[in-house]
Amino acid sequence: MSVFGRKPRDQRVKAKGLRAYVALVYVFLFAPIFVLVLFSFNDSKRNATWQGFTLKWYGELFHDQPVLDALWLTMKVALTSTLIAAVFGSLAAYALTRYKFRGSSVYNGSIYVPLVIPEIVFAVALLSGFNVAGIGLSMKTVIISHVAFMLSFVIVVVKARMAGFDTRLEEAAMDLGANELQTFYYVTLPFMFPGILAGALLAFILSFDDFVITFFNSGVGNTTLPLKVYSMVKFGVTPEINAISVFMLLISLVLLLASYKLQGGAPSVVTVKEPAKE
Amino acid sequence: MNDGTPSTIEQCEDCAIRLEGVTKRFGDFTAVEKMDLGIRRGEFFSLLGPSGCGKTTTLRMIAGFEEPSEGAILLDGVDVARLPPYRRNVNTVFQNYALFPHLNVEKNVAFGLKRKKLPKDEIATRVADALRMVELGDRATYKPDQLSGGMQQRVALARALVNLPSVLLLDEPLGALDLKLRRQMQLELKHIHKNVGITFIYVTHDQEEALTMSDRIAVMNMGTVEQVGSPEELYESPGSRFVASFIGTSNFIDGVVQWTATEGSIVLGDGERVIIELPEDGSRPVTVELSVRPEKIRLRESGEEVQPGQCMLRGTVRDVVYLGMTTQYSLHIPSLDRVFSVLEQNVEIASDQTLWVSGEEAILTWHPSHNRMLPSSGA
Repeated sequence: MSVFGRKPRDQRVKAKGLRAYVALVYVFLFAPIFVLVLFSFNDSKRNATWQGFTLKWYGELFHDQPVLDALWLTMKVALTSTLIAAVFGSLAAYALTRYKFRGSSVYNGSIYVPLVIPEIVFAVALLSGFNVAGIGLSMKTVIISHVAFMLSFVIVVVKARMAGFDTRLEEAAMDLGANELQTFYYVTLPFMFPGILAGALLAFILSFDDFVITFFNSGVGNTTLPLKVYSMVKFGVTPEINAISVFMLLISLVLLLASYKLQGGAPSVVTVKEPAKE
Repeated sequence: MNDGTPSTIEQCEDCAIRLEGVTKRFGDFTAVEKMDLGIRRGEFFSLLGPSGCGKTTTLRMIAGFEEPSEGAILLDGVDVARLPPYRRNVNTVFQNYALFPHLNVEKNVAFGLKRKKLPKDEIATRVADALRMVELGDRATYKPDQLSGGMQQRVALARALVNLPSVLLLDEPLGALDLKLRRQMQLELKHIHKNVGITFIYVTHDQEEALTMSDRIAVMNMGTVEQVGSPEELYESPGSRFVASFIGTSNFIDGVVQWTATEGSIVLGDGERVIIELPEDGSRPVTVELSVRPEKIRLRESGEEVQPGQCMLRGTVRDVVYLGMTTQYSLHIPSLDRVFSVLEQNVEIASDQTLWVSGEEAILTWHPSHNRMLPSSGA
């Protein structure tokens, strides 16, 4: 900053260049999505040219029984696996942050493995696992597979939340007459809850649009929405597929925003409504 | 322990809390060693000592957060040493308040009563009374993070006291407050203690705070109790060198004693003498260590006559700190090769008079009754 409060010329040029660059990045990221959303309202059988505005693809979508079946299955899988992963993931996160036990550092480290190994490897590993165990592929195997990769996400998010937990709160609860279970229920769980919800929402989104792992472990007839879209695309991209995509996009966005809000809105941020008087 | 100082084992018939041979080890480290302590019903009792002396560990054992390695903790006559915290009629005010962040003030205070499954209207009345007692009646619906540190402290106090525990434990509760608020809260705490009549056990490393508030104080050092007594007893008759230097300031004198039928004395030459009154227990130790408080000593001009029967030392003034009401001097005593601290009242200092100045020769005198004989470290 110069003495006269104006940025030197070369710095202004740099700022302009940077702004253009950022704009380009955003165009690159969001233009395809914008086109996708736009053409879901296109009054044409093909995506190539704009023919006029219509809502008929959305109407068609909600009368397309196979698509609705796929959506229903996706929901069932996502909800069930989220519930299982949220419960066990939270308990695991609690144990890993609160207790040191034999091999706890190994467990702590291995949580990140499912987050970093290629999804295809994870999918094949699960498939061969089911084969070795002699479990036939079904909706159950899809749910088990989803729980397997969701657990890590839930644990990581809940652990982050637990890191800010003051263990003296548990001591205070017991001091006031709450036993171990009551302490967990009235003090620890309410503190963990935003983390659990954030982790669960994230897990739900991941399950909702998962393709690779589901593709390998679903068997015949267990077509989730992403699988259904994939099979429809083989016959050409119609505006109906755009409409499905927009629908999925909306669900993911809402849940993602909720998840971020829950993680960011932790009560550790001190807000003082009025100047405290003594 | 020397004569006149009470034993650490308090022989109270009706103790609120009694520790018997309590030891706590963490691995190889012994935090508290064979501690015996009796705390009377309704008293304001402080555990005072430097950090790491075991005072907080002791408090945590009474609360039930730590289990003693050995010994018994009798609460109203029943050994609770192995009971979980929620099965003891004891409540704690934590150092950093530990208020439940997701509950408002009212629900924080009601937490203990709800666990006891009291009727709803009784809980409501008692919570309202407790909040009125700490002057937070108008903040019932606030969340803890909307309150200042002092207010949070008072909520923590109300949350503990509302349960009417046998004993209230306070773990350096004023540590996080600024000095002015601290002073105010000290008085407030004392006032509340008087009103509720519950036994308070207060942990602090601040000797001034302990002296201001306590009925009795246990001075702790390295996991053991050095001395138990009223603030006055501890200050006027310190039972050990540690107590003498930790509570207030002390000047130490040691030497070989010559005993006569009426008194003992340490002779240092050139008219200097330290007279010792005969110990009541009849002992006549060859060497002694004495402590004298700075305000007991008077300074005289080097030529002045000193009454016989008074202790007398020669010294050179080194530092002069004028404090308004008093002036604090440090003097080098060549015969002991020690620096003494002397506190003079400024009663006789008029505007045209001068204080002692650095480098001046002075005579230090005091009455032998101000000498405190300390037990030798080997005993």
